[in-house]
Amino acid sequence: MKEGPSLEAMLDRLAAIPGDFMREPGKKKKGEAGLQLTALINDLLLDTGDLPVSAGEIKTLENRNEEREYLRILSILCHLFHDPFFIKNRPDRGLIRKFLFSPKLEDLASCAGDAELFITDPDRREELCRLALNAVGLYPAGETEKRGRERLATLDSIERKKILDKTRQAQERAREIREAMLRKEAEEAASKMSRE
Amino acid sequence: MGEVQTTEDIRERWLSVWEEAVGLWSPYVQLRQPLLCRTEKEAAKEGLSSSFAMIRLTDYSVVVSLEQVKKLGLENFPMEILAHEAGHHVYCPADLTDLGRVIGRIQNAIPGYEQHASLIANLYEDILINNHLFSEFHLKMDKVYEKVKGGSKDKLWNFYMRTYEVLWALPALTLTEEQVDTETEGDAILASRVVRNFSREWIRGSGEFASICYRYLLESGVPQNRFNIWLDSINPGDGKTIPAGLSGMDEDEAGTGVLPGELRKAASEPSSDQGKGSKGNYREPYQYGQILRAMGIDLTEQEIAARYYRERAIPYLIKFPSVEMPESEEPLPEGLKEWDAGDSFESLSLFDSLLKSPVMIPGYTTVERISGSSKGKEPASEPIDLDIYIDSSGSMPNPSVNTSYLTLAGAVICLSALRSGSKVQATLWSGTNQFIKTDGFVRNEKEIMGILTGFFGGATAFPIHVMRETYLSRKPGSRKVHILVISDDGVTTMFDKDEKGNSGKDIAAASLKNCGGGGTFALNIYGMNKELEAAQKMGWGIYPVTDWEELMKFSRDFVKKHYGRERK
Repeated sequence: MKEGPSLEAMLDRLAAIPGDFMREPGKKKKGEAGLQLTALINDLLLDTGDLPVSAGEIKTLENRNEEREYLRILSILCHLFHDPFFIKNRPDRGLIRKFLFSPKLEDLASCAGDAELFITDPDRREELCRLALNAVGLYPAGETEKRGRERLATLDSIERKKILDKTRQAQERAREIREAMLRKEAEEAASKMSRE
Repeated sequence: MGEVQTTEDIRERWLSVWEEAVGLWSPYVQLRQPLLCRTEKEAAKEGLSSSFAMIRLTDYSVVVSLEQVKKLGLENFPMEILAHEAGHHVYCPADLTDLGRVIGRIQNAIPGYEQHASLIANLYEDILINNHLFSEFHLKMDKVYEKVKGGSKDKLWNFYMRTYEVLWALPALTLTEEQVDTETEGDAILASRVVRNFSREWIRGSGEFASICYRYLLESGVPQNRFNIWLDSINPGDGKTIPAGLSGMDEDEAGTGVLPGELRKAASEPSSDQGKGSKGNYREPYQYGQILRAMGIDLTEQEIAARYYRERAIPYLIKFPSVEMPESEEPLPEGLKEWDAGDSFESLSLFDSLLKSPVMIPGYTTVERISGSSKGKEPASEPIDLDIYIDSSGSMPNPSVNTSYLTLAGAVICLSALRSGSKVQATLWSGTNQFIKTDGFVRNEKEIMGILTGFFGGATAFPIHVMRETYLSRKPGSRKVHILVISDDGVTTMFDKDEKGNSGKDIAAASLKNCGGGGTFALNIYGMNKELEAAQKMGWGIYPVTDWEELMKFSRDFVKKHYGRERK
């Protein structure tokens, strides 16, 4: 992994995202064009040294037309990666593309519920910045690779979802053990009573 | 460090690293120097018995037993141990309220084992602090545990140690006593993920951590004494101080944990209980008591209940009525007198003191103004006292166990009255001769709250004699009193005959006349009966309240509805 831009610069860029990027993707309102996400992604890929959006990818985006929050996260990431740092330093080809079309972003959208959280909530903003850097093989300037990964772990919503699912299972297991113990106690008490 | 170190050497060395240890957490934090006890007797005097170190959140101190440190062979870990203790003050739990919130969450996660919540909280806080110090500052936290490792095969302890091994990538058996089974290995991995992921929102993660520990509590039963030496923040209060804010619950506390998006959604959507007393957002009094007891707070059930209702009543305090008196009195300056250092600072007149001498010497050159009074033009106001009768018969909930909206309404009205300068006479009543009351009209909040939170749960017989003794021999010109009775249809026992055979109706009518401030019944009834209609004709204001939670609304509307002349 290599050193990327400073986290502060990324956070500032995200906080100052133009309103156009938060428009409803793909749809048209009265007198207002909807956000053309495919064009946005295409521009980003070309500007960062990658190939244009393929027909298959266009189809994928069209199929996900209803996944509003996922599409909004894509739009936010387009703005984030359009930073002069990435245009100048061009991450390894394919990494941005891979990240934008990865199932991770769908999970992220489902965890957050509202993509706007990645702009308005300081922790989620930091999470998206760190996640984006990590996806393209970078860590924030001034940090080490290890520290960057550790800090991302403290913010990772997808990881939290997995933890919550697992702890629910642990709770369920403990509940079963407790019920079994109570049942056993009750049986022992009943057999003692009948003996007496 | 092969040579033998004396306690004094250790003490000096430990004191010399204190500032640096605190500075690891923040360069701006200042904590008083740690109390490094030379002998076990000294340590015991500070309240340190089983562990070798502890914190006190009430005076922000750290206490370490150097004797114990020597016994355990930890004298060469001053930075690790002192930075850890400082972490309890700076990071978690940092204050008693947060500790209470954590204990509340943990108790929800370990039903049946609530008494061990403070132990789990201590283990959770320790692992968060140790992980921060290990990964951020490379302190040898692992070596501290390794040094004291010895022989315990307690399942909870082994799981906990395995979590450290996973978290810090240590080989198995570095801290654990025996190989753990696959399930424990899975739990340790999960616990380490909780520690990493919730390190910023550590309160939220406490329930998750406790959920994982629950199985080991079930299997181990009572945790072994092995834990004791590590329990440095198990009772960090002074046993008396009750932190504020524990009667309420966090939005996500009752569940098993939520994601940030769900949390935001929950916060933006008011619960269906809100506005009706917000039952969903508050603990029950028994849960509140459980938390306080787990925090080592040694108060009676009634004291805890009084604190609970006080805390819940405070957001609803209302402006209590006062009556306008013909004239007020205005201050009339009459001169100066000497002000001494023991006098109240507010009365010191800096201007007059400096006129007397440019050098201020308390007691010599300092003066205060004295003034008499003259009749003013503005009307004065005099607060109306409150005489409150709370029904505590069998149909009412015990306020120490479940939320009693009667008690809560009583608390709101009484505390409001006290705040505006009124005196309160509170009477809790149930069957014949089953009553407790304050010693007349008092301004002692503790005494009043003690009456309000009492419980009889017996029959229903209004204490007519209390009313008779309060009002029938009342002197004309006494301060006005408002009589408030909170009950259900059992209030009509007020109109029965008293123990002397006098008519309750006559006593009620005479009391209403003599009190001068009116009377109100707030009743949990669904309709009026003949006796209540007669009471209304007598002059009692009757407010049917069909839901206990609506009593809260009643108490807020009480002043406006009844007086209509609330002062602006």
